[in-house]
Amino acid sequence: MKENPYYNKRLRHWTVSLMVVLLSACIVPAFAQGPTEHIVKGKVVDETSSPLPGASVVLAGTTTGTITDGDGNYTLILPNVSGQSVAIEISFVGYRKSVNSLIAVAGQSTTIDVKMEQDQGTLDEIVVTGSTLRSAKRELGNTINTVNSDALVRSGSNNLFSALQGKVPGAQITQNSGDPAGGMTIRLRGVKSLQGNSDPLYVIDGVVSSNSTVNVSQTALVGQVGNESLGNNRMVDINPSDIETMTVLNGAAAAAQYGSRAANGVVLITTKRGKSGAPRLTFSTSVTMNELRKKVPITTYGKQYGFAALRLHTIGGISPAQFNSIANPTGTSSDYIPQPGETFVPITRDGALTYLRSNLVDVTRYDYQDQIFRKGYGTDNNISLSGGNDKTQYFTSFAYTKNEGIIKGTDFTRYNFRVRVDQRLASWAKLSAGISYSNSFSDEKANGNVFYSPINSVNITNNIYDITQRDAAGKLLAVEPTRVNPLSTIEDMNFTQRVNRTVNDLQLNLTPFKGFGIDWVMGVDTYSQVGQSLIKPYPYQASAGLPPERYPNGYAANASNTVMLFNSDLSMSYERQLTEDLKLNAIVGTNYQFQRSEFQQAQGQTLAPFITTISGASSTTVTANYGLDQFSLNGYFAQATFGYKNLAFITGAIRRDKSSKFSPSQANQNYPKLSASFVPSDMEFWKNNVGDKVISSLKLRTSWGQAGNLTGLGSYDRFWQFSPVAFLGRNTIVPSSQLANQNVKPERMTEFEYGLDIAFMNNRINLGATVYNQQIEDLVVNRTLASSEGGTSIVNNVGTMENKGIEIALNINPVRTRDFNWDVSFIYSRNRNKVLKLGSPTIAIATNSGAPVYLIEGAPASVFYGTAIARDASGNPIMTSAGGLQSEKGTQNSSVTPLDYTPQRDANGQPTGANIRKIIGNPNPNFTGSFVNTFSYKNLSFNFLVDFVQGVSVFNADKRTRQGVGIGDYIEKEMKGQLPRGYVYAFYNTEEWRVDDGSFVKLREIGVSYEFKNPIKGINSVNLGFTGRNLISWDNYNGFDPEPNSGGNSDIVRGVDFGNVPIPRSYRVQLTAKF
Amino acid sequence: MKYTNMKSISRLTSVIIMLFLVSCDKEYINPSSASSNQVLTDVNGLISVANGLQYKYSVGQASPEYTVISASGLLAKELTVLNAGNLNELLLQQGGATVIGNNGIVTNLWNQSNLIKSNAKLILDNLNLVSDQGTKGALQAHAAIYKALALGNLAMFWQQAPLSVEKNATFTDRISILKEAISTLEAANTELAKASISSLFTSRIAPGIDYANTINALIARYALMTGDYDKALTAANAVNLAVSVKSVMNHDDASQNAMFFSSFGARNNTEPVDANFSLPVALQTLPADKRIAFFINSTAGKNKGNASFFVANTTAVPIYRPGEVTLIKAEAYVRRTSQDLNAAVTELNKIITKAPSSDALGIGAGLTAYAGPVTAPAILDEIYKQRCIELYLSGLRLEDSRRFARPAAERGRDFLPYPFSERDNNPNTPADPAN
Repeated sequence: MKENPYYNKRLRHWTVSLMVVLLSACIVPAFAQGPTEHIVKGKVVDETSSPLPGASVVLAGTTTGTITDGDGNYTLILPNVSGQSVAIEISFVGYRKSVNSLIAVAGQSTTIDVKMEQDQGTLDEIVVTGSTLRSAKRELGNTINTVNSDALVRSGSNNLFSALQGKVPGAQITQNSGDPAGGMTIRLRGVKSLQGNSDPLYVIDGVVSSNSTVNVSQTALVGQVGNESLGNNRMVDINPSDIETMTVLNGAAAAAQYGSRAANGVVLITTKRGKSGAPRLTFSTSVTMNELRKKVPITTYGKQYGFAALRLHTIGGISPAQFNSIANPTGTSSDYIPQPGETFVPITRDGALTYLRSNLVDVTRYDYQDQIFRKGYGTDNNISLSGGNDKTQYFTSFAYTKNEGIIKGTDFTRYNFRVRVDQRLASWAKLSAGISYSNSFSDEKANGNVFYSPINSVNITNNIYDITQRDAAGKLLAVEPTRVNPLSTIEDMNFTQRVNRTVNDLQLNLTPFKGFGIDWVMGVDTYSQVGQSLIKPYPYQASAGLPPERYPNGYAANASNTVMLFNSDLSMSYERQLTEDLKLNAIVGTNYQFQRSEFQQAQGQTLAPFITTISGASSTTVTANYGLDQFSLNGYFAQATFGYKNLAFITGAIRRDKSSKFSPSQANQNYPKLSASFVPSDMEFWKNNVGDKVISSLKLRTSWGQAGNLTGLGSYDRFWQFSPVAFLGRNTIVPSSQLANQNVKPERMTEFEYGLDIAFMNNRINLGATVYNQQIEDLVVNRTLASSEGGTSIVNNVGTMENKGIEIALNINPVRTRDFNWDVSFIYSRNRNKVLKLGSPTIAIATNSGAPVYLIEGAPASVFYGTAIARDASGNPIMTSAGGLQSEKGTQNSSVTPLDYTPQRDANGQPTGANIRKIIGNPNPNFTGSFVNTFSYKNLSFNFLVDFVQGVSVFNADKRTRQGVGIGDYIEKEMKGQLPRGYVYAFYNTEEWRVDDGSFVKLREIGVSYEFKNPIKGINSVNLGFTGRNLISWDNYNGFDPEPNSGGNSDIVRGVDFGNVPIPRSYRVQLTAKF
Repeated sequence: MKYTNMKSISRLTSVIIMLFLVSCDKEYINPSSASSNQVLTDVNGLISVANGLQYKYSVGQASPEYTVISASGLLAKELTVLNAGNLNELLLQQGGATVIGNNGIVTNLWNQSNLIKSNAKLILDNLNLVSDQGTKGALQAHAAIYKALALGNLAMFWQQAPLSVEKNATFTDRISILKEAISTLEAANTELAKASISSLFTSRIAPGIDYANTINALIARYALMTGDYDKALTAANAVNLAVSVKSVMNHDDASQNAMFFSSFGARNNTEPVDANFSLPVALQTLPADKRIAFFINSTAGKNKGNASFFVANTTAVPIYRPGEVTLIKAEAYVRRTSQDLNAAVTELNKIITKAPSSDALGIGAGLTAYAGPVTAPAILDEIYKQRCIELYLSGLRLEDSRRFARPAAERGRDFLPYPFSERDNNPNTPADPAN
């Protein structure tokens, strides 16, 4: 092998410097050069004897290696090994590693042809465990789950996370909005933080990448929402077709390399790489159709109480004094003058008497849903070219996707470019560089949390107006006073967002001598979001009288968010066979992360005619602000694994972190980890007595570890902020009502997990089960203060919380013949979350929907805590004398124990006393799971995925709104006499009535595809597939969809249905050609 | 080894050292905010916090400008709820046991008043660093006014409240709270009188407040509530009632008039019950009363409250109305030990016969003089009636209704329950009043 000696030497000197600077350890380098070489070559094929391109061929214990070309052939030159016994390891993701021993002799060559055995799920599968770490499954003391590109393709979605739904045990993956760029959240093993998000750390090819949600396009509603987190989260920028595998590290112990950012778990995303051989071209194109799966019940029954102009005709009443003034007028303006035909019925609720209208008048009702929904179409196109030789491999791709939402005027467009180049610099040095760029654009409508959003304008407007009517100039007309015409939300409001993003990495892998490796990854993820908001002045403001919060004279804003994340990971590994039976793997490393985001915003109101940007806003209304957030994190870690006879492994690790978010006294944090695994099935005793046919493998594992979480604490939360406000042209500073504790520290999770992986009948049945217990301490809570203390809250480490759960994954391969294959897999996850300590008995989480979301000591996070329906001992509602539901009454025993109350009954058995509050719903599911079935017969394959979430509550705010406004299903029954008059009025203030069961079973994916092999010369294969997503939901939910999340990407406000866009049903046809 | 090699090695080494060692101890500070030890040790910092007091008091739906007027208006039945979806407002209108400690208006009124009290204390505790008396006195006057208003709000709506700012603060009865407000104002008055207000202060403070007259008007208001009628009278007499003198909190398009923005700008939240100032028939004024048109918008489709000090986002809201000062004098003459009913009638007539043009704020009844009996009960009834009209939607109605011992049916509650946020986090929180 010819090498550039100058180049080679230089690299080696770098290595020496690195070691001296970073390790300060004395490792004697053994760099003796020799002329002797031994050549190993051969062909690698899979079980069907098809060539396996891209398999890695490595001299064991070094990074000296190559990969197979397009025909599965390889040639590996072994330098400096003459006379030694060496092992050649051939590996490929999803296949069992093949180890081949030989004695190297100078100048000779050996041929080793290998047939690889499929190995997914078995113990020798190689999995990614960190940016620079890889490990065989058998050595791990914790669960790790990998989803590969096939599953991403089958999902029929152009969102990366959709493909994970139903495929990862322990992960709850929720789509937060049916918008075409709608956010998705992943929660691994439950909620982890009460203040920050529980989003895992995302690492793409070693680059710590942002999935944050920053609202730049919906700035009009910022002052009107609470803890909801609105907007797209940024993984939407990633093209799923570029992804090779996604590895999910659920637990704290698994993620030790990421220390104080690992408590939420880590998702490691590996993109596709080139394989040596002739250039390979892959092209795919698809067409998607999205539609509304189910409408909500809106009455078109042509009646209403009182008179046509009466607002909230179902619940709008008059006082006893007003009612008495009808018969006995006082002659003053407080007298009520009834409309012709108006009659009344007295209703008592919570001790207060009101007179509701009891007469019905004729009206014409419309279903406005028909005006705001549509069928949306989309297309997704990808082209990739890859190839290379044994030294250089490349992968390039371009993608264009556009998807229309089911709300008129919403769409999402994205362009992606990606290049990855791998270059072998020397037999012991490899360089890899990845560059990606994406440009996305989304057209949005107002977020559901405001009453000028498409869905809420339908829910909150009495539907007796023909909204399609226009004046002579073609302008829309007013509907109910103070309400926005639903068509205005579509035609006269625009919220857009454009994102430019690039994620780049540079990786250097060195093996200066046998057993010793250095890996360095540097990555940068940087993007800018530019958002614009426009609400045109309403042409009908004079008659509608819209309140200022709906911006009657128009609103325009722009906002931008510029983000940069940088990370550098350097690690050194050393592998050594200590004795014949005992092997050591040691790794030390450092990690540096820096993150900066700059947010700028300008907004104004009262727009000049025809002008649609902030430039047209009236000068007195314009405000501007700027925010800078930055923090850094430095970490050092060391890890050692001892393996005994490849049967038992024990790993210990420690990470020390220092972050600028904390004061110097708290900045240094240590996170230890210990794990062990044991594979009894590989013991001679076991092999001789049990055998592959019964139990092919058994692994027992356990791990204990600590990890931290920084998301709960804003970069400046440890300071009491004195913030400027715009006020009357004079410098004004307001001390924050949120007080601070200088010594606040990172949240810390201690996790203990144990489990087993067992395979039966020649790996035909695989079962993995894990039990875990997470104790999260020092939770950062913005705890409520008595305002007499000088603030209304303080950010402090007062919380503790636990997550306990079980994850089970079962894969069965009942039939495997040459032509027919049947795979079934079943996942079951169950998590029990409980807030143990909070600093105060309850913390109310502000929401805009009226959902009473609370954190309560002794209860799961984010429960709904509010007024309850009065029930008797057997759980049946106690009806009022008028036949209505009513709130439970009695006494709340003590504010310190908010869950205790004593119901009271009067002589008639009716509830009496004050309204009590209790937990009326829990948005944390009882259990979740999925069932995946795949059949393939020759080139035809058919698969479906059924996803289920059971035992979960939804706060259905919209259901009640529809009844109060008088357009819902209950009020229709009331008007038709099927329910007593006042039924809706009776339950209107009882919050429990709004809590619905959100359990569902969904046909998440169903697909059929056919592969034409070599259909015409020059084309290797053509695959034609049909996929349906979210086609059917079996549920009992009175709304669009039981998977709502008006809290957006918030991990604290969950399970609230308030104006959010339902998840569409979609159909896709996809054609993929490989050349 | 070549020289260039050495150079690249040393370069690389320094890059690595920089990346891994130097960057460790960086501390990042928010450039868009300041810290307490910056702001509270600088004169301009203190003045900017003084403006912050007014901002907190007058901007937004959580501010006392909204909550005091709404809570008093709904409990004393000046206002009615237009949309039953506004639950906090609706429950205050229903009153009684339906008002509990989770009511948003109750919580905001309590929290913001306590915060203004503690923020004002930040200024009052750091006045020593101000050397110029013209700045120091004005700053003290400004902070004292907002502290007094905050204490006054607590005393008008709750039976007890904490005076100190601390963890587990103990509660003090409302009369002592009002006395603390008065002594804070009196101390400020003394300091203010020592020098004329500096140009530094005037150029940096949000304009609108006449300090000396506001201090006296507020002393008179709170002295009347404590039953110290002589002090009330003395202070009221010290207020200059000239047409040119007024004291307001200003608003603009960015810091909007809170009642207009959140309620009276549309017909979706609350509005005045009627054009009779919600008075019982016996106390209703004549249709010729020019104040009806001043306070009530009678245009169809408009919110009835879209008038007076709630016309637009930019309408200024007075801190005290001159009529209040005159009516304090009248009431004090009746209630003080050395009662003077004729003097009371004289003051009362100044209100009844006042032309809008002779009032600094344009409030004027323009009616003929009081012709009723010159007896204490009759005059007090007339004073109550005039207060209800002259001080309509100023937030004083609930207090007045109690002080004049009006029938309980005219009020939804006498006092508010303590917010859950206080009760759950301060064990010294007293029991809630039954009504």
